[in-house]
Amino acid sequence: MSLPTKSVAELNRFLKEEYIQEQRENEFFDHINGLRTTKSILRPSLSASASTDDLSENVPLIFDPNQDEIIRECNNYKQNEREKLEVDAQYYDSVLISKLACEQILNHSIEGNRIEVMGMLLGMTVASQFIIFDSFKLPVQGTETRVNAQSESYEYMVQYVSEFAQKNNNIVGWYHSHPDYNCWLSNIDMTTQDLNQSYQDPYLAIVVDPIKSLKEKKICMGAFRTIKENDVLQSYQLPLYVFDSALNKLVDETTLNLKISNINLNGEYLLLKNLLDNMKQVSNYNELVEEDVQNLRSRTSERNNKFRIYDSPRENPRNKDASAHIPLLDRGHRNKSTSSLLHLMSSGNEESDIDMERDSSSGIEFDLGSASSSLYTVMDAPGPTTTSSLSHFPQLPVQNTRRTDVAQRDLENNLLSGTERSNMESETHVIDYEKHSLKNNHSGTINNVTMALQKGQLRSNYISSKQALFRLKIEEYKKLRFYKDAFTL
Amino acid sequence: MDYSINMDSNVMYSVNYEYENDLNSLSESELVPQCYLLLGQVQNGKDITISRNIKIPITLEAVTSEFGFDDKNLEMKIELIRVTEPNLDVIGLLLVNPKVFDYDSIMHRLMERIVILFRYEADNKLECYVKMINDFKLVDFQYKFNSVQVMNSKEDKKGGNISTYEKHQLEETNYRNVVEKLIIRINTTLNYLQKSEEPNDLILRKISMIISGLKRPVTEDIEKEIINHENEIKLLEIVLNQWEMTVSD
Repeated sequence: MSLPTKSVAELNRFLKEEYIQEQRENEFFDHINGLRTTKSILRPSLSASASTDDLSENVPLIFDPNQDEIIRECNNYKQNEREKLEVDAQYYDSVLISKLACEQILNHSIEGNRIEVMGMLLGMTVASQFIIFDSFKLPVQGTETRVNAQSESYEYMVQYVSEFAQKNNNIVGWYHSHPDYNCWLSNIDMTTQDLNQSYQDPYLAIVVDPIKSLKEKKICMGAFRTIKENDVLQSYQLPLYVFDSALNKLVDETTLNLKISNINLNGEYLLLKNLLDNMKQVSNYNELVEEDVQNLRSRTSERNNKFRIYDSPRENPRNKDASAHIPLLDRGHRNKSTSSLLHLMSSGNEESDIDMERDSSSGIEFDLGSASSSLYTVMDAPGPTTTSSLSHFPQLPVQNTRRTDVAQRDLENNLLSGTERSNMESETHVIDYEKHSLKNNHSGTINNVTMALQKGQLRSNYISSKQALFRLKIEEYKKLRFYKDAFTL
Repeated sequence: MDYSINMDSNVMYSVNYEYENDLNSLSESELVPQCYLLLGQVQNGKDITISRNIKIPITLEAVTSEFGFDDKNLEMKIELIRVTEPNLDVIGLLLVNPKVFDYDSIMHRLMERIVILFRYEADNKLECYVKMINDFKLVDFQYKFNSVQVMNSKEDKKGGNISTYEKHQLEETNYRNVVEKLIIRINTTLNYLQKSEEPNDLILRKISMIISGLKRPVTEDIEKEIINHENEIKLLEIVLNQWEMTVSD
């Protein structure tokens, strides 16, 4: 790519086109999520669901379906008889609030400045959700830490609702401000809320902090209800989602607000580290595969050497030390029994020597010429070996016969833990011959498939980490170019 | 006389909510007649701020087939609003879909109390007129937004949940919108300067400040930063390509 010749808009398009694949992946996951959950326009999607962090920060989340769809859904909603019955205290689980109501509440609290203000929420409940469409101020005189509605406020409330509330809309809660002391329910607030919940449920409390909102330039608002646990009054917070009207676009379009995405500087280090980890994993994988091939080659040549027919046992380098107690194999006594061969495979083992001695002493013939083929005959043979028969050749200590399995396990560990292992330990793995012999016919194919999958996985990890790093770098670059262009006319 | 008209964005949000509500209640109709009384303040006879709206409960007169309304009910609504916002006065009227519906009878009854008139074609355009001696004159107006934005953008509210693709799309749309709006504003400014015989001093000063801001050069180190970034990207590309070749061997 030739970066200097590209304009900022081209860079932006380039970045977008590069990551169409990502969108498709998201679409796929959305589809899967859609299959998992029953879709309702009044239910926030999984991607927009509130996390604990969102709740603690008191930041309302955006809600995709617009006001028109929500109004239609609410008009069509027939309240279920069951919902009219006494419901669980924590039955209500989320709040949808219109942008209009949010702005009204915020403006009222900003007008109040350091003095607490109070008002009412107009809307309805749909199943376990509060839908707030509108709000209005109450004529109350608050202080910096307290605000109370008197009897005249209640009269005003009744009059206002009868004159202004839309069909289906009722008072579903109240709001008040906490200037500069965040959004939560104090003991007095909890008592008020509990009283309202007892007599006119469904009822919701919204708390807004105008000072913090002004400082942070984003609304600080929380929705709460109370619950009694062991006679102790407690409050719980409900996730708050803001919805907008498509018609408001005409108003919002008049604002000139250019947002430039913030780039997390720490992200570059993490992405680079991730890329290097993935590269190491690919290298390790390749090394292990190569090592496996070499092992197979060396084993074959070793086996060939092992079964080379020496004219004299002394010529065999392996027998130099052991020659004293290893009886000379008589070419005339070739053993068809595979057990001897298997024990021979584990040369250097004292037991094998004894067995070999026993076998040789028993005068069974050992076919050196067919040794190699005998090994595979054993492996391939679907012998009904039982645990008891393992005393004969129950377990075959095979050195690196299935090294790929070891490599795969280690790679899986690497992938899971995210740490690389530069040196693979040489391990001797005991393979259950019973299982092995049964599976052996298919194991080659399975291993090939597993290896191909692993290779694919490593490749895809590498590519995605590479793309993420490039994306970040190009975004940084684009930002710089934008600043340069903005000041060069 | 130069008027300065500011309308609280909440007024239009409220109008749109009421409009959508009526539209959904009267499903057989695609357009609904609506008329709003606008409340606000007028300072120095030319600075107008609109802060609230009241939906006029219009009825269709059986005899004349014209729109009418209940005066007492409207007065009660105005008084209810004034309980919490005593500074507000009736200053205007907002007519929804005026090309389709005839609001002359309502305007005639309220003409004495209003100074401005808004004509709103829902989802299309909003025009502002100021009452002159015998007529209404089309004027510009501005929305008044809160400095704290409730729904700044999808990206802000969704936080980490927004996909990279979506983010790029939003950025690109936002960028294009801003450029288009800037072009409109520049053209309006040029138009004003060309047509106005005695331009307002305040406006001239603002234009001068913008131009001096545009003359500001880029920082000295930006070129170096750009070259560094280009080199980093190239270097990374070369290193990774070489490594990929080694691995594929």
